[in-house]
Amino acid sequence: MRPIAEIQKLKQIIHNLDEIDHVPVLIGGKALALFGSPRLTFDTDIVIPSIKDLAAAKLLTNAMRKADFYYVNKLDDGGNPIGWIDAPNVAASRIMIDKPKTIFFWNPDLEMKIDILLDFPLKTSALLATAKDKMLDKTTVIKVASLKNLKKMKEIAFKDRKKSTDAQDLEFIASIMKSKRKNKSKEL
Amino acid sequence: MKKAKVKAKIVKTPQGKTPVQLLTLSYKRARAIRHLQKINKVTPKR
Repeated sequence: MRPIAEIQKLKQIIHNLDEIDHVPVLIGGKALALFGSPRLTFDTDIVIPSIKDLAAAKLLTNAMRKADFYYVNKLDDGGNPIGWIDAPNVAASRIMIDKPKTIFFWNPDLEMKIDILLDFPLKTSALLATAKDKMLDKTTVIKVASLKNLKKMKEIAFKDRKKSTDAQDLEFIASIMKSKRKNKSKEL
Repeated sequence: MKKAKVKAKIVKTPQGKTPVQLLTLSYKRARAIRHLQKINKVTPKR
């Protein structure tokens, strides 16, 4: 099976972030999709460590630009990007001014949005400690947050925004955990 | 001496799908809904 363009871009981003010593951890709906969740999700959520200075911000925006992703500086009410910055260095300065917890990147051709969360809602180190490796191909490994941490993050999100999709995800996580427990007790 | 070949192992999920297959499905689903939203067959809802 030939990978679709979105998968190719995701692999490119993993490699580009690896090059600047950021090990991205996949969280959110796309992470749950890897556990078999059928829920429709548009964005790809990734957690990386916080950005401390302009140089680090430049490395990030350049790494994303290399994969044709632009820093989003304007979203509409539905969360769709309506404004983005072409120049990575200008985008880096904007990040340092805005100091966002989540940075949105957008590829207009594929209409693909990557949300990069900076040590939020959980620290990257905490996520990496229990993250699972999933192989996308023979050379690309993506770290996926553990079910326990995915549950924790969904609980935080649900408490905050009370979205039905978060409740749906929590239900899915509970069912997966239950079936895992069942399988374990069967083995014993 | 013959060197042992190390093969990368792609682990399948309980559904019998590889991670790439599951992600592909998710991205394709999003693509299809965006297309339907564009031709106004479904109301945009995020």
